[in-house]
Amino acid sequence: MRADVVDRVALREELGARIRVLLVERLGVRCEPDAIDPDAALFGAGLGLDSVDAIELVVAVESELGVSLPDGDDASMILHSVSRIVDHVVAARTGGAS
Amino acid sequence: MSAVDRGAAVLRRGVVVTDAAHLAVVQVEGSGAAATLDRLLPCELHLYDGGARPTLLVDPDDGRVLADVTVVRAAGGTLLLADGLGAAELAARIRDAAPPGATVEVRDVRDDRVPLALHGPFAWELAAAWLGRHVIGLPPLALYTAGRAWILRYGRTGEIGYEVLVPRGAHDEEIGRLLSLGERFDLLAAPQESVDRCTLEVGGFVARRPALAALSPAELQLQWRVSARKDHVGRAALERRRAAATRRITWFHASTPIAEGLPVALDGEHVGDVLVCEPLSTGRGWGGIAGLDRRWAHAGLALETPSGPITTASAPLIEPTSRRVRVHSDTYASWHDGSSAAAPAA
Repeated sequence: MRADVVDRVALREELGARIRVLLVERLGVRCEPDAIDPDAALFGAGLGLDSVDAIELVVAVESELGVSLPDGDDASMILHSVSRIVDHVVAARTGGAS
Repeated sequence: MSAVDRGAAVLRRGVVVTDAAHLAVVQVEGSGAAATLDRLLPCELHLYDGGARPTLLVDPDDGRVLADVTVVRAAGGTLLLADGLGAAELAARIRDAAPPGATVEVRDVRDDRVPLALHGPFAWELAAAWLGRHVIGLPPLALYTAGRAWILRYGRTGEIGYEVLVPRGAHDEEIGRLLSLGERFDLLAAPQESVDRCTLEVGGFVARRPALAALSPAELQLQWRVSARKDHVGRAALERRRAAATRRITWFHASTPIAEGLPVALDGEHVGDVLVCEPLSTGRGWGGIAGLDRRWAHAGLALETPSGPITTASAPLIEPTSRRVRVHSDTYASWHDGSSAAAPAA
Protein backbone atom coordinates (compact mmCIF):
# COMPACT_ATOMS: atom_id res chain seq x y z
CA MET A 1 0.00 0.00 0.00
CA ARG A 2 1.34 3.45 -0.85
CA ALA A 3 2.91 5.27 2.07
CA ASP A 4 1.00 8.51 1.36
CA VAL A 5 -2.33 6.67 1.64
CA VAL A 6 -1.26 4.99 4.87
CA ASP A 7 -0.16 8.35 6.30
CA ARG A 8 -3.40 10.05 5.24
CA VAL A 9 -5.51 7.38 6.91
CA ALA A 10 -3.39 7.50 10.07
CA LEU A 11 -3.88 11.29 10.27
CA ARG A 12 -7.64 10.92 9.85
CA GLU A 13 -7.73 8.25 12.58
CA GLU A 14 -5.81 10.50 14.97
CA LEU A 15 -7.91 13.59 14.28
CA GLY A 16 -11.16 11.63 14.50
CA ALA A 17 -10.17 10.22 17.88
CA ARG A 18 -9.35 13.70 19.21
CA ILE A 19 -12.66 15.12 17.97
CA ARG A 20 -14.63 12.26 19.57
CA VAL A 21 -12.97 12.98 22.90
CA LEU A 22 -13.86 16.69 22.55
CA LEU A 23 -17.48 15.76 21.92
CA VAL A 24 -17.66 13.62 25.03
CA GLU A 25 -15.55 15.69 27.40
CA ARG A 26 -16.44 19.24 26.34
CA LEU A 27 -19.94 18.86 24.95
CA GLY A 28 -21.19 16.07 27.15
CA VAL A 29 -22.26 13.74 24.34
CA ARG A 30 -23.62 10.65 26.08
CA CYS A 31 -21.60 8.03 24.23
CA GLU A 32 -18.29 6.33 24.57
CA PRO A 33 -15.95 8.12 22.14
CA ASP A 34 -15.57 4.97 20.03
CA ALA A 35 -19.35 4.80 19.57
CA ILE A 36 -19.46 8.15 17.77
CA ASP A 37 -19.40 6.95 14.19
CA PRO A 38 -17.46 9.09 11.69
CA ASP A 39 -20.48 10.05 9.57
CA ALA A 40 -23.10 10.24 12.33
CA ALA A 41 -24.89 13.60 12.20
CA LEU A 42 -23.93 15.58 15.28
CA PHE A 43 -26.95 17.89 15.30
CA GLY A 44 -30.73 17.56 15.13
CA ALA A 45 -31.97 14.00 14.72
CA GLY A 46 -28.43 12.66 15.04
CA LEU A 47 -26.53 12.99 18.29
CA GLY A 48 -28.87 15.83 19.24
CA LEU A 49 -26.47 18.74 19.61
CA ASP A 50 -28.09 22.18 19.38
CA SER A 51 -27.11 25.73 18.45
CA VAL A 52 -25.51 26.38 21.84
CA ASP A 53 -23.44 23.24 21.43
CA ALA A 54 -22.40 24.48 17.99
CA ILE A 55 -20.71 27.51 19.54
CA GLU A 56 -18.89 25.33 22.05
CA LEU A 57 -17.86 22.94 19.29
CA VAL A 58 -16.44 25.76 17.18
CA VAL A 59 -14.41 26.99 20.16
CA ALA A 60 -13.22 23.47 20.96
CA VAL A 61 -12.19 22.65 17.39
CA GLU A 62 -10.41 25.98 16.87
CA SER A 63 -8.53 25.84 20.18
CA GLU A 64 -7.70 22.14 20.28
CA LEU A 65 -6.99 21.51 16.61
CA GLY A 66 -5.58 24.91 15.64
CA VAL A 67 -7.82 25.65 12.68
CA SER A 68 -10.35 28.41 12.11
CA LEU A 69 -13.90 27.77 10.98
CA PRO A 70 -16.01 29.95 8.69
CA ASP A 71 -19.29 31.48 9.81
CA GLY A 72 -22.82 30.47 8.94
CA ASP A 73 -23.88 27.82 6.48
CA ASP A 74 -20.35 26.77 5.56
CA ALA A 75 -19.59 26.06 9.22
CA SER A 76 -22.75 24.01 9.57
CA MET A 77 -21.62 21.70 6.77
CA ILE A 78 -18.19 21.32 8.39
CA LEU A 79 -19.70 20.61 11.80
CA HIS A 80 -22.10 18.03 10.37
CA SER A 81 -20.05 15.05 11.56
CA VAL A 82 -16.68 13.96 12.88
CA SER A 83 -15.61 12.99 9.38
CA ARG A 84 -16.56 16.42 7.99
CA ILE A 85 -14.57 18.16 10.70
CA VAL A 86 -11.59 15.92 9.90
CA ASP A 87 -11.95 16.88 6.21
CA HIS A 88 -11.72 20.55 7.17
CA VAL A 89 -8.73 20.14 9.49
CA VAL A 90 -6.83 18.06 6.93
CA ALA A 91 -7.56 20.60 4.20
CA ALA A 92 -6.52 23.51 6.41
CA ARG A 93 -3.25 21.84 7.34
CA THR A 94 -2.38 20.85 3.81
CA GLY A 95 -3.63 24.02 2.15
CA GLY A 96 -6.20 22.11 0.08
CA ALA A 97 -9.86 22.79 -0.37
CA SER A 98 -12.14 21.23 2.21
CA MET B 1 -36.00 11.11 -16.21
CA SER B 2 -37.57 8.35 -14.11
CA ALA B 3 -40.24 8.94 -11.45
CA VAL B 4 -37.63 8.29 -8.77
CA ASP B 5 -35.18 10.78 -10.35
CA ARG B 6 -37.91 13.40 -10.65
CA GLY B 7 -39.10 12.86 -7.08
CA ALA B 8 -35.57 13.20 -5.72
CA ALA B 9 -34.95 16.38 -7.71
CA VAL B 10 -38.21 17.98 -6.57
CA LEU B 11 -37.49 16.94 -2.98
CA ARG B 12 -34.30 19.04 -3.11
CA ARG B 13 -35.96 22.15 -4.50
CA GLY B 14 -39.55 22.20 -3.24
CA VAL B 15 -41.70 19.66 -1.46
CA VAL B 16 -42.90 16.12 -2.11
CA VAL B 17 -45.56 14.03 -0.42
CA THR B 18 -45.34 10.26 0.02
CA ASP B 19 -47.81 7.79 1.44
CA ALA B 20 -45.29 6.42 3.97
CA ALA B 21 -46.76 2.97 3.32
CA HIS B 22 -43.55 1.35 4.54
CA LEU B 23 -43.90 2.80 8.02
CA ALA B 24 -45.30 0.66 10.86
CA VAL B 25 -46.81 2.75 13.65
CA VAL B 26 -47.82 1.24 16.96
CA GLN B 27 -48.89 2.71 20.28
CA VAL B 28 -47.63 0.95 23.39
CA GLU B 29 -49.61 1.35 26.59
CA GLY B 30 -50.07 -0.31 29.96
CA SER B 31 -48.33 -0.31 33.31
CA GLY B 32 -45.53 -2.46 31.91
CA ALA B 33 -45.01 -0.47 28.71
CA ALA B 34 -42.00 1.54 29.86
CA ALA B 35 -40.20 -1.50 31.28
CA THR B 36 -40.92 -3.51 28.15
CA LEU B 37 -39.62 -0.87 25.75
CA ASP B 38 -36.60 -0.28 27.93
CA ARG B 39 -35.84 -3.99 27.69
CA LEU B 40 -36.48 -4.19 23.94
CA LEU B 41 -34.75 -1.07 22.64
CA PRO B 42 -31.00 -0.48 22.82
CA CYS B 43 -31.17 3.28 23.54
CA GLU B 44 -31.51 4.94 26.94
CA LEU B 45 -35.18 5.88 26.96
CA HIS B 46 -35.04 7.88 30.18
CA LEU B 47 -32.92 10.49 28.40
CA TYR B 48 -35.66 11.25 25.90
CA ASP B 49 -38.67 12.17 28.00
CA GLY B 50 -39.19 15.40 26.09
CA GLY B 51 -39.58 14.12 22.54
CA ALA B 52 -38.56 11.47 20.06
CA ARG B 53 -35.32 9.68 19.37
CA PRO B 54 -34.17 7.46 16.55
CA THR B 55 -32.99 4.03 17.64
CA LEU B 56 -32.95 0.51 16.25
CA LEU B 57 -34.51 -2.87 16.68
CA VAL B 58 -31.83 -5.54 16.50
CA ASP B 59 -32.06 -9.27 15.97
CA PRO B 60 -31.40 -10.91 19.33
CA ASP B 61 -29.62 -13.85 17.72
CA ASP B 62 -27.25 -12.25 15.23
CA GLY B 63 -27.23 -8.54 16.06
CA ARG B 64 -28.25 -7.35 12.60
CA VAL B 65 -30.48 -4.30 12.37
CA LEU B 66 -34.11 -5.31 11.80
CA ALA B 67 -35.71 -1.89 11.80
CA ASP B 68 -35.05 1.82 12.01
CA VAL B 69 -37.23 2.80 14.97
CA THR B 70 -38.29 6.20 16.23
CA VAL B 71 -39.55 6.30 19.81
CA VAL B 72 -42.01 9.10 20.45
CA ARG B 73 -43.39 10.07 23.83
CA ALA B 74 -47.06 10.90 23.33
CA ALA B 75 -50.03 11.52 25.55
CA GLY B 76 -51.53 8.18 26.51
CA GLY B 77 -48.50 6.08 25.70
CA THR B 78 -45.45 5.72 23.54
CA LEU B 79 -45.49 5.62 19.77
CA LEU B 80 -43.02 3.56 17.80
CA LEU B 81 -42.52 4.34 14.12
CA ALA B 82 -40.64 1.50 12.48
CA ASP B 83 -39.15 1.15 9.01
CA GLY B 84 -38.13 -2.39 8.17
CA LEU B 85 -40.74 -4.44 10.02
CA GLY B 86 -44.51 -4.71 9.72
CA ALA B 87 -46.75 -3.72 12.61
CA ALA B 88 -47.67 -7.33 13.44
CA GLU B 89 -44.05 -8.44 13.76
CA LEU B 90 -43.15 -5.29 15.67
CA ALA B 91 -46.04 -5.90 18.09
CA ALA B 92 -44.98 -9.52 18.57
CA ARG B 93 -41.42 -8.50 19.39
CA ILE B 94 -42.70 -5.92 21.88
CA ARG B 95 -44.91 -8.49 23.62
CA ASP B 96 -42.06 -11.02 23.68
CA ALA B 97 -39.87 -8.47 25.45
CA ALA B 98 -42.35 -7.85 28.27
CA PRO B 99 -40.93 -8.75 31.69
CA PRO B 100 -42.84 -11.48 33.54
CA GLY B 101 -46.14 -10.16 34.83
CA ALA B 102 -45.93 -6.87 32.92
CA THR B 103 -49.10 -5.48 31.39
CA VAL B 104 -48.44 -4.14 27.91
CA GLU B 105 -50.90 -3.35 25.15
CA VAL B 106 -49.82 -2.74 21.57
CA ARG B 107 -52.21 -1.07 19.17
CA ASP B 108 -51.68 -0.65 15.44
CA VAL B 109 -52.18 3.09 14.96
CA ARG B 110 -52.82 2.53 11.26
CA ASP B 111 -56.13 0.92 12.16
CA ASP B 112 -57.52 4.41 12.63
CA ARG B 113 -54.86 6.77 11.29
CA VAL B 114 -53.15 7.05 7.92
CA PRO B 115 -49.55 8.20 7.69
CA LEU B 116 -48.10 10.43 5.03
CA ALA B 117 -44.88 12.36 4.82
CA LEU B 118 -43.78 15.73 3.48
CA HIS B 119 -40.13 16.30 2.61
CA GLY B 120 -38.31 19.24 1.10
CA PRO B 121 -36.79 22.64 1.83
CA PHE B 122 -40.28 24.18 1.65
CA ALA B 123 -42.16 21.41 3.45
CA TRP B 124 -42.50 23.80 6.39
CA GLU B 125 -44.34 26.36 4.28
CA LEU B 126 -46.83 23.87 2.91
CA ALA B 127 -47.26 22.21 6.31
CA ALA B 128 -47.96 25.61 7.88
CA ALA B 129 -50.60 26.39 5.27
CA TRP B 130 -52.17 22.99 5.79
CA LEU B 131 -51.88 22.44 9.54
CA GLY B 132 -51.20 25.86 11.04
CA ARG B 133 -48.25 28.18 11.56
CA HIS B 134 -47.22 26.51 14.82
CA VAL B 135 -45.68 23.81 12.67
CA ILE B 136 -42.92 26.22 11.64
CA GLY B 137 -41.50 26.42 15.16
CA LEU B 138 -41.36 22.67 15.73
CA PRO B 139 -37.84 21.55 16.61
CA PRO B 140 -36.48 18.37 15.04
CA LEU B 141 -38.03 15.19 16.48
CA ALA B 142 -40.92 17.02 18.15
CA LEU B 143 -44.44 15.64 18.08
CA TYR B 144 -47.30 18.09 17.76
CA THR B 145 -51.06 17.79 17.51
CA ALA B 146 -52.69 20.15 15.02
CA GLY B 147 -56.43 19.74 14.88
CA ARG B 148 -57.01 16.16 13.85
CA ALA B 149 -53.46 15.43 12.79
CA TRP B 150 -50.40 14.24 14.67
CA ILE B 151 -47.19 15.68 13.24
CA LEU B 152 -43.66 14.49 13.88
CA ARG B 153 -40.92 16.69 12.48
CA TYR B 154 -38.34 14.30 11.11
CA GLY B 155 -36.21 15.35 8.16
CA ARG B 156 -34.60 12.08 7.18
CA THR B 157 -33.30 13.50 3.89
CA GLY B 158 -31.36 16.50 5.17
CA GLU B 159 -34.32 18.67 4.16
CA ILE B 160 -37.18 19.59 6.46
CA GLY B 161 -39.59 16.70 6.85
CA TYR B 162 -42.81 15.84 8.63
CA GLU B 163 -44.46 12.51 9.22
CA VAL B 164 -48.17 13.17 9.63
CA LEU B 165 -50.86 10.82 10.93
CA VAL B 166 -54.38 11.85 9.95
CA PRO B 167 -57.56 10.11 11.13
CA ARG B 168 -58.65 7.47 8.65
CA GLY B 169 -62.14 8.99 8.46
CA ALA B 170 -60.73 12.39 7.51
CA HIS B 171 -58.04 11.13 5.16
CA ASP B 172 -59.69 11.93 1.84
CA GLU B 173 -60.71 15.40 3.00
CA GLU B 174 -57.22 16.16 4.37
CA ILE B 175 -55.47 14.85 1.28
CA GLY B 176 -57.76 16.97 -0.85
CA ARG B 177 -56.84 20.08 1.15
CA LEU B 178 -53.15 19.22 1.01
CA LEU B 179 -53.13 18.70 -2.75
CA SER B 180 -55.08 21.90 -3.30
CA LEU B 181 -52.71 23.93 -1.11
CA GLY B 182 -49.79 22.14 -2.71
CA GLU B 183 -50.53 23.52 -6.17
CA ARG B 184 -48.64 26.74 -5.47
CA PHE B 185 -45.67 24.68 -4.27
CA ASP B 186 -45.68 22.39 -7.32
CA LEU B 187 -46.24 19.58 -4.82
CA LEU B 188 -45.30 16.20 -6.26
CA ALA B 189 -46.55 12.81 -5.05
CA ALA B 190 -43.22 11.01 -5.12
CA PRO B 191 -42.33 7.34 -4.78
CA GLN B 192 -40.73 6.29 -1.50
CA GLU B 193 -37.62 5.37 -3.47
CA SER B 194 -37.01 9.09 -4.06
CA VAL B 195 -37.01 9.73 -0.32
CA ASP B 196 -34.78 6.69 0.24
CA ARG B 197 -32.26 7.97 -2.30
CA CYS B 198 -32.16 11.39 -0.65
CA THR B 199 -31.84 9.76 2.78
CA LEU B 200 -28.93 7.54 1.79
CA GLU B 201 -26.98 10.30 0.03
CA VAL B 202 -26.95 12.45 3.19
CA GLY B 203 -25.69 9.67 5.44
CA GLY B 204 -29.06 8.33 6.56
CA PHE B 205 -30.16 4.76 6.92
CA VAL B 206 -32.83 2.83 5.00
CA ALA B 207 -33.51 -0.50 6.70
CA ARG B 208 -35.30 -1.87 3.63
CA ARG B 209 -32.20 -1.85 1.42
CA PRO B 210 -31.28 -5.53 0.91
CA ALA B 211 -27.53 -4.84 0.82
CA LEU B 212 -27.69 -3.31 4.30
CA ALA B 213 -30.01 -5.90 5.84
CA ALA B 214 -27.41 -8.27 7.26
CA LEU B 215 -25.25 -5.57 8.83
CA SER B 216 -24.87 -4.64 12.48
CA PRO B 217 -24.86 -1.13 14.01
CA ALA B 218 -21.05 -1.19 14.17
CA GLU B 219 -20.87 -1.84 10.42
CA LEU B 220 -23.66 0.63 9.57
CA GLN B 221 -22.22 3.58 11.54
CA LEU B 222 -25.25 3.41 13.83
CA GLN B 223 -23.51 2.73 17.12
CA TRP B 224 -24.61 6.12 18.38
CA ARG B 225 -28.18 4.82 18.45
CA VAL B 226 -27.16 2.07 20.87
CA SER B 227 -26.21 2.48 24.51
CA ALA B 228 -23.32 0.42 25.82
CA ARG B 229 -24.51 1.17 29.34
CA LYS B 230 -27.78 -0.73 29.47
CA ASP B 231 -28.94 -4.29 29.13
CA HIS B 232 -31.46 -4.98 26.37
CA VAL B 233 -32.70 -7.67 24.05
CA GLY B 234 -29.87 -8.59 21.69
CA ARG B 235 -27.08 -6.97 23.67
CA ALA B 236 -24.89 -10.07 23.68
CA ALA B 237 -25.32 -10.47 19.93
CA LEU B 238 -24.46 -6.82 19.37
CA GLU B 239 -21.30 -7.13 21.42
CA ARG B 240 -20.27 -10.21 19.45
CA ARG B 241 -20.88 -8.42 16.15
CA ARG B 242 -19.04 -5.32 17.31
CA ALA B 243 -15.99 -7.32 18.36
CA ALA B 244 -16.00 -9.19 15.07
CA ALA B 245 -16.73 -6.23 12.77
CA THR B 246 -14.02 -5.94 10.15
CA ARG B 247 -15.85 -3.55 7.83
CA ARG B 248 -17.68 -0.23 8.04
CA ILE B 249 -19.87 1.48 5.49
CA THR B 250 -18.37 4.50 3.80
CA TRP B 251 -19.94 6.89 1.31
CA PHE B 252 -18.45 7.54 -2.13
CA HIS B 253 -18.76 9.66 -5.24
CA ALA B 254 -18.53 8.28 -8.75
CA SER B 255 -18.80 9.86 -12.18
CA THR B 256 -20.41 6.75 -13.69
CA PRO B 257 -22.88 4.16 -12.35
CA ILE B 258 -21.19 1.47 -10.27
CA ALA B 259 -22.96 -1.88 -10.08
CA GLU B 260 -23.97 -2.93 -6.61
CA GLY B 261 -22.08 -5.98 -5.34
CA LEU B 262 -18.85 -5.25 -7.20
CA PRO B 263 -15.54 -5.57 -5.37
CA VAL B 264 -13.64 -2.44 -4.37
CA ALA B 265 -9.84 -2.33 -4.56
CA LEU B 266 -7.12 -0.05 -3.25
CA ASP B 267 -3.83 -0.34 -5.12
CA GLY B 268 -5.03 -3.67 -6.45
CA GLU B 269 -5.92 -5.08 -3.03
CA HIS B 270 -9.55 -6.10 -2.37
CA VAL B 271 -10.75 -3.84 0.46
CA GLY B 272 -14.54 -4.04 0.24
CA ASP B 273 -17.70 -4.19 -1.86
CA VAL B 274 -20.19 -1.76 -3.34
CA LEU B 275 -23.48 -1.92 -1.41
CA VAL B 276 -25.51 0.94 -2.89
CA CYS B 277 -25.05 3.24 -5.88
CA GLU B 278 -27.59 5.66 -7.31
CA PRO B 279 -27.65 8.93 -9.21
CA LEU B 280 -27.31 11.92 -6.90
CA SER B 281 -30.48 13.94 -6.47
CA THR B 282 -28.66 16.96 -7.86
CA GLY B 283 -28.26 15.15 -11.18
CA ARG B 284 -24.51 15.70 -11.00
CA GLY B 285 -22.83 12.31 -10.78
CA TRP B 286 -23.45 9.23 -8.73
CA GLY B 287 -23.13 8.43 -5.09
CA GLY B 288 -23.18 5.33 -3.01
CA ILE B 289 -22.13 3.30 -0.04
CA ALA B 290 -19.38 0.71 0.11
CA GLY B 291 -18.62 -1.74 2.89
CA LEU B 292 -14.89 -1.27 3.41
CA ASP B 293 -12.27 -2.89 5.62
CA ARG B 294 -12.19 -0.67 8.69
CA ARG B 295 -8.58 0.33 8.07
CA TRP B 296 -9.58 1.95 4.80
CA ALA B 297 -13.08 3.12 5.75
CA HIS B 298 -12.21 6.80 5.50
CA ALA B 299 -13.08 9.71 3.26
CA GLY B 300 -10.74 10.97 0.59
CA LEU B 301 -9.43 7.69 -0.85
CA ALA B 302 -9.35 6.94 -4.58
CA LEU B 303 -10.51 3.34 -5.06
CA GLU B 304 -11.17 1.14 -8.04
CA THR B 305 -14.07 -1.06 -9.08
CA PRO B 306 -14.61 -3.05 -12.29
CA SER B 307 -17.22 -0.42 -13.29
CA GLY B 308 -14.86 2.51 -12.75
CA PRO B 309 -13.19 4.57 -10.05
CA ILE B 310 -14.84 5.82 -6.87
CA THR B 311 -13.70 8.37 -4.32
CA THR B 312 -14.71 7.93 -0.71
CA ALA B 313 -16.28 10.97 0.93
CA SER B 314 -17.83 12.19 4.14
CA ALA B 315 -21.61 12.25 4.20
CA PRO B 316 -23.64 14.14 3.15
CA LEU B 317 -22.66 13.73 -0.49
CA ILE B 318 -24.72 16.79 -1.44
CA GLU B 319 -25.57 19.99 0.42
CA PRO B 320 -29.25 19.99 1.40
CA THR B 321 -31.11 23.07 0.19
CA SER B 322 -32.69 23.56 3.62
CA ARG B 323 -29.34 24.67 5.02
CA ARG B 324 -29.63 27.90 3.04
CA VAL B 325 -33.37 28.57 3.23
CA ARG B 326 -34.35 31.13 5.86
CA VAL B 327 -37.75 30.14 7.20
CA HIS B 328 -38.74 33.64 8.26
CA SER B 329 -37.72 35.44 5.07
CA ASP B 330 -37.71 32.97 2.19
CA THR B 331 -40.71 31.34 0.57
CA TYR B 332 -41.05 28.79 -2.18
CA ALA B 333 -42.12 31.59 -4.51
CA SER B 334 -39.31 33.99 -3.62
CA TRP B 335 -36.70 31.21 -3.78
CA HIS B 336 -37.68 30.29 -7.31
CA ASP B 337 -38.28 33.77 -8.71
CA GLY B 338 -34.77 34.76 -7.59
CA SER B 339 -35.78 37.36 -5.00
CA SER B 340 -34.43 35.38 -2.03
CA ALA B 341 -30.91 36.51 -1.25
CA ALA B 342 -29.67 32.97 -0.57
CA ALA B 343 -31.28 31.37 -3.62
CA PRO B 344 -28.89 29.97 -6.20
CA ALA B 345 -28.53 31.94 -9.41
CA ALA B 346 -30.89 30.68 -12.09
